[in-house]
Amino acid sequence: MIKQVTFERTTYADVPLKFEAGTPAICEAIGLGAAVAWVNKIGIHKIQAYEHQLTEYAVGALKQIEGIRFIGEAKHRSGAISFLVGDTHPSDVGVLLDQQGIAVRTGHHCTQPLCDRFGIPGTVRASLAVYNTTDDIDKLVEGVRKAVTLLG
Amino acid sequence: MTIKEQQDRIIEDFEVFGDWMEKYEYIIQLGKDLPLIDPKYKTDDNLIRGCQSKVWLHAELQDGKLVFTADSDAVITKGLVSLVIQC
Repeated sequence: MIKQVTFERTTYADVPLKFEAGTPAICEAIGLGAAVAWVNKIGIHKIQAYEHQLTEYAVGALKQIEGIRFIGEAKHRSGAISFLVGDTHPSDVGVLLDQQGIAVRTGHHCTQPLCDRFGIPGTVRASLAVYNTTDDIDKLVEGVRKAVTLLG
Repeated sequence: MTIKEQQDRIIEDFEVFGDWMEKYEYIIQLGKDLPLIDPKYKTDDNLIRGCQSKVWLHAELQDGKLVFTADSDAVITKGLVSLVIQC
């Protein structure tokens, strides 16, 4: 942000206002406040416990799919679950899941060297969070099964 | 057939499908049916880079016509590419 501008020269406001040109992120700040209040209302430890439980459920359910292979099997893991099924291509699985109203990410997730190391073109990655349910997971498993069947 | 006629024909074909599964079964079949590109043309020069799947496209002039062959490591992408090169 400026202090004064003429054709001869420009002076700037003091830091931090110097770096705060334009309309401040007012809505964003209010949104952030609402998000923090929501998290605090539930409680971060409750959220962590729920997500942990849901992740275990998800991994357990996905494991039942024939030919599934998880990429990243750390003992203490988060809810971002990367997998491949048989020799299907992740982007094919992603397209067919999308048709069933299921959103996942596919590709190398900006980790090309890691994918090269695993010798894979990328993965299908389902990420879950506190707003997901076991019903979502069941639908994901069903969706993956259907996708793999279609790909033959 | 002109490019437009080819495109119209493809649109007509697709209007037949009742649901997304039928449509994708067709695209997947197209992908599986696509004649394989000559492996010597699967080079980095012919690679169209993207974040999802690999596509190789090779162009050749045959009798004054531009003829394409292609391949992809993802079968749906292959099906879509086969639609493009049909035109």
